[in-house]
Amino acid sequence: MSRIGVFICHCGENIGRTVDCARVAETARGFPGVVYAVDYRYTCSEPGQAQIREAIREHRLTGVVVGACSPRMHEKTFRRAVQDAGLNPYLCEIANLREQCSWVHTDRQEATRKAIEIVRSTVARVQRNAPLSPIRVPLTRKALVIGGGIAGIQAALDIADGGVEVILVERSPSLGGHMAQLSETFPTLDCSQCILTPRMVEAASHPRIRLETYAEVERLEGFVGNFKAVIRRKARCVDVARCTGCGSCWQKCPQKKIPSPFDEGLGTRTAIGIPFAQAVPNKPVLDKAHCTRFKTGKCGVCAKVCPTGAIDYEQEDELLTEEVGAVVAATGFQVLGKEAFTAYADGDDPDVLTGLQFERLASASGPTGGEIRRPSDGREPRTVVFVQCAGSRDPARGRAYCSKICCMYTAKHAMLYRHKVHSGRAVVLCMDVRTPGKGYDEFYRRAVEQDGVAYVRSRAARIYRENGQFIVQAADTLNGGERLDIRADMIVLASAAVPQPDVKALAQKLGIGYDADGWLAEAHPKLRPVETNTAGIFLAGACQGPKDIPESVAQASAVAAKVLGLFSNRELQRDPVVARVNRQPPPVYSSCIGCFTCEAGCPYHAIEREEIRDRKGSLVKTVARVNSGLCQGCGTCVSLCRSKSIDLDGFTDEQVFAALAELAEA
Amino acid sequence: MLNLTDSTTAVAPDTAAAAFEPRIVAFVCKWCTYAGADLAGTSRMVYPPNVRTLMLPCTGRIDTSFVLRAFLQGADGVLVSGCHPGDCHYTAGNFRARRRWTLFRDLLDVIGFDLNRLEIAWVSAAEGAKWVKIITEFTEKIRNLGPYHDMRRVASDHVPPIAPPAGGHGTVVSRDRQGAEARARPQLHADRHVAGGGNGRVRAPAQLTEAATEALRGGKVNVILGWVRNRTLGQARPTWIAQPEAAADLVAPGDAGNLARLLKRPEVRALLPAGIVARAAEVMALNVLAQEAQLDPAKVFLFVVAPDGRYLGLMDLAEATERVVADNVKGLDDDRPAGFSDETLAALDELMARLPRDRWQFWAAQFEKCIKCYACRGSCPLCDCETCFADRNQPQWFPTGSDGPGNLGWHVIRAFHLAGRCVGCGACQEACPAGIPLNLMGAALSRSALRHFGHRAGVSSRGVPLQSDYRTEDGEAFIL
Repeated sequence: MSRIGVFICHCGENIGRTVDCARVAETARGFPGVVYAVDYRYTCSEPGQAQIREAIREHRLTGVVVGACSPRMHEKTFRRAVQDAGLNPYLCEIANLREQCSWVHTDRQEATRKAIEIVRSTVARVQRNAPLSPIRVPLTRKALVIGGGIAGIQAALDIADGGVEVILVERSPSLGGHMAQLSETFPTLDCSQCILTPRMVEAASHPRIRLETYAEVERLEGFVGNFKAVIRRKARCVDVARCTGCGSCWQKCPQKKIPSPFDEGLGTRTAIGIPFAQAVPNKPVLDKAHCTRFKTGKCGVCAKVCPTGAIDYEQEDELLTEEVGAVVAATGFQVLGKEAFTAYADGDDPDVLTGLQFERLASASGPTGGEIRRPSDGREPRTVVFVQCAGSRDPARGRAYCSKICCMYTAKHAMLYRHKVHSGRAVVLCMDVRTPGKGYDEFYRRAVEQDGVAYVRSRAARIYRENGQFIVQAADTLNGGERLDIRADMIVLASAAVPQPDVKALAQKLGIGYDADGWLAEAHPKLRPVETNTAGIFLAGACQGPKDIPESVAQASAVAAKVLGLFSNRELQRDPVVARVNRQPPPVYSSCIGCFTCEAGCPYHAIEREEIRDRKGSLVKTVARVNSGLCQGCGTCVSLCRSKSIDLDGFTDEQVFAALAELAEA
Repeated sequence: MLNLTDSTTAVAPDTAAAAFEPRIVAFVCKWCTYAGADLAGTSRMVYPPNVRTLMLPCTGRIDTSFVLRAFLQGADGVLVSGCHPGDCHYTAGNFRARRRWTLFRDLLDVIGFDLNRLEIAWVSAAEGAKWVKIITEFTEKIRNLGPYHDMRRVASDHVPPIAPPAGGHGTVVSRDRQGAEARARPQLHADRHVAGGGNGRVRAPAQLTEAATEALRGGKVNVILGWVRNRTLGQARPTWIAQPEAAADLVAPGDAGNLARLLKRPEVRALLPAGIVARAAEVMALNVLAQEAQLDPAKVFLFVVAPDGRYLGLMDLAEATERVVADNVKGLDDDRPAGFSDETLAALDELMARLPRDRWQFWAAQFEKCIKCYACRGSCPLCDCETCFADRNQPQWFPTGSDGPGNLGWHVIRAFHLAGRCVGCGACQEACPAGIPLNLMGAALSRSALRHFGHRAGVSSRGVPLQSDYRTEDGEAFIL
């Protein structure tokens, strides 16, 4: 038999002014199941809470209804008070008499009537509440970071420095990502590799970071604190334990004319080798697609010259299974290739470069040793036109967003060009120049004022060749739209930052969302920017949207704080509002028939398939089971279930029906 | 406390209309609308005190039965409200809710429910003012519409008692016609699927019988679901046979029922792999069962029979689908759900051309006839729950009595449980001893699924169930 206590708060005058609290309490005394009801000026105050605790003990209450402010305000307070008196906190419910009654109504009689009905309904509901306890989930204190660019490196270092083991997975042969390709960085113009490579080495030599380069995450199963990742370690054809990184193999490799992806196709590489001189780890990878031995069977020079016998042509991919508690996606971005811009010299002219290609051209470690030369004929360009917003802020070409980094790197490119080619002319075609950031606008002004870069507000309508030179058709839109035909020797496109081409496959693998543009989706754009909607999976860097280096690093450190926060617990505690599929004694086992309508409808992939077997081990049926570690308690599955085999703790059908009966009936 | 079965006493007299204060129940999500309503309070906005709010975690949790129940228990208007698309705290609960309400509203529309009484709105945590506006306007709208009793009363003072059944099996049409004519209403016929004659005298095609014998003898299948002659009643009767010799008794498919329903029986399931004499109706039902993990397609073999009674051969589910469903569907226009007969769809059009009030009266008269025998459930191949919601009592989902509210609750919820699944075989209405044109509700929901979501049930054994799925661009013209 229920013994419900009802506590009506006046909230000073806030409720009492419009609602006759004494009458509400008095009426509540007559509700079925209510053994105690009282009104009080400030129930949330210490004496008010003491009143609840005493009443629980004195009247042996089995449930508590507090008629007060919104549950969003003080539900926690009152549930704690109830718990202090030895009652399960989930046996306390709040009737919202302030925000949704006294504050929004003026007629005292009407408001009092409504308050009585709200309390009556809440009393009916609380009688069907079940005691719940927080769900405890064990935790593996190890993190998996996917992506070895600056964001992944930073996240891995910060997490490892916090005392947690990290597996850092990078799919290319070396750490570094796009940052390793950059020549110099804005707004300080310090050499990118000079600041990055020490971090790469630090990550590689950290006692708590295990590096897995040339490896990819194949599968991810499980849930927060308890993931199981399958990592594919791709065959390098090199035994990394024996290899000393001496370089004999790539010096002697006869295949030397392979376009280098690290140099964005402007330089060449060998079939076996490291992507760039400072690569970490300094262990080569053999590219089977270009290796003569794999193509014709007749070579094997690298194996002959290797002093340690590290070359292993028979090596195969390995699959590693790792248990981790948290996952960080730091998979970065790509830039739109020039082939997307058919109006610009048909999209295939060697002297039309993307920003990333220009970085390689300007880099001291690049194919020209840092000299600005045209890829087509090796000559120094006299005029370079930089085209901003190439593909960004341009829904017609598919990208409506601003790529954010291009204004700054274009200013940098123009500046670098002017530093290297003193007599050269740098023209930037821009829509706007956006330079929010510390020292950013000053940097742009320097390009204009000290380095004489000409900024023209225009988009490039068309670029074509005429007598060996480019003609850039533009219009100076700040000068009456005057038609400009700019003669140029080289074009640099600030082409849009775009998601990795396989980002959707990754999102599906991890069970996280992505937005319409293909950027991985954060849980909340403002308040949860580094978490995803899947608990335990976090985002760092440009995989979530275009970002510059400082932002990527900041986000990576924020992720580390989140991961370390998660791991600061011995086990996870979760709100017990989760769905449950009913279980019954044999031979029924469960009324669930296993149609799995719930499975497809669950936003969190929390529905699992459980095979029920009899004593002999033969399959009786397959039913749904809710993984309470993954379930977030939305209850969508409950409504989808036709046989009503699922219910949501804390919001059961019975509770809803009981409350509804009191609300709907006059 | 839950006195729902008494349909007469709880109703307020209409004379009280002058002092009528609408009773509005609002089902709201915890994260957006409830917070928005709180904001209205914090901002000291004022709105009518007629609304009673019931908070749930997400619109995804709001069962359509809750709304039905609110009306059954005395609500004059119901509001369902949650986060705007894209804002759902649980990512996509509201997208699924949007599909659910799209379909449910169409169902309510078919039965002539006044949709003005059901409002659906997105209200964010920042939209206190929108909450106030919606409550104020909705209260005024309901005040003008007046008190709502229809569901609790479900009509029927105007309807004469049910005409007694006029004969045995095979006379369903005339029985229905008799009932309908007695009430001088336009006829809404039961579907007729005549494939080879339903009297059980036409033998099954010889090749079918041979193939069935062979399959049983060779151990390809352990059991065959087919039709044999019921000698007492003189019609084709669905049954299952396990002996090769018994295959000789097979007759041409009957004109009522769907053999796939036999797969619900544990004794049949224990005998898988099974053969099944399959017309399009069976093939489509098997596809839904396979889609819902109720059937391993590798464990059924179909003896496919064309609409004209010809035997097309022994096939697996995919091939049978290609042969007797796919072509059929390809020829259909965008507004034509698969599986339903022309007569049913014409009857639906005719019904929808009437005023909602008249539709309500029509269904009230139909539901009045229901004796809650649950033959519709038993005959449906897709009513496959082991424990039906109708048999649950904690809580009880709708009044159990065989009266207006009880019958309405049963038929509406059951129809909705088939939304996006019903293949239009008409077995339910063939089975109904009271001649209720149940297939009309199925047709209406199937058409709704097709119009809004391009969904056709039973045309493939793969894909995500309609209501579990969503598209961000699903329509929402009805949502405030």
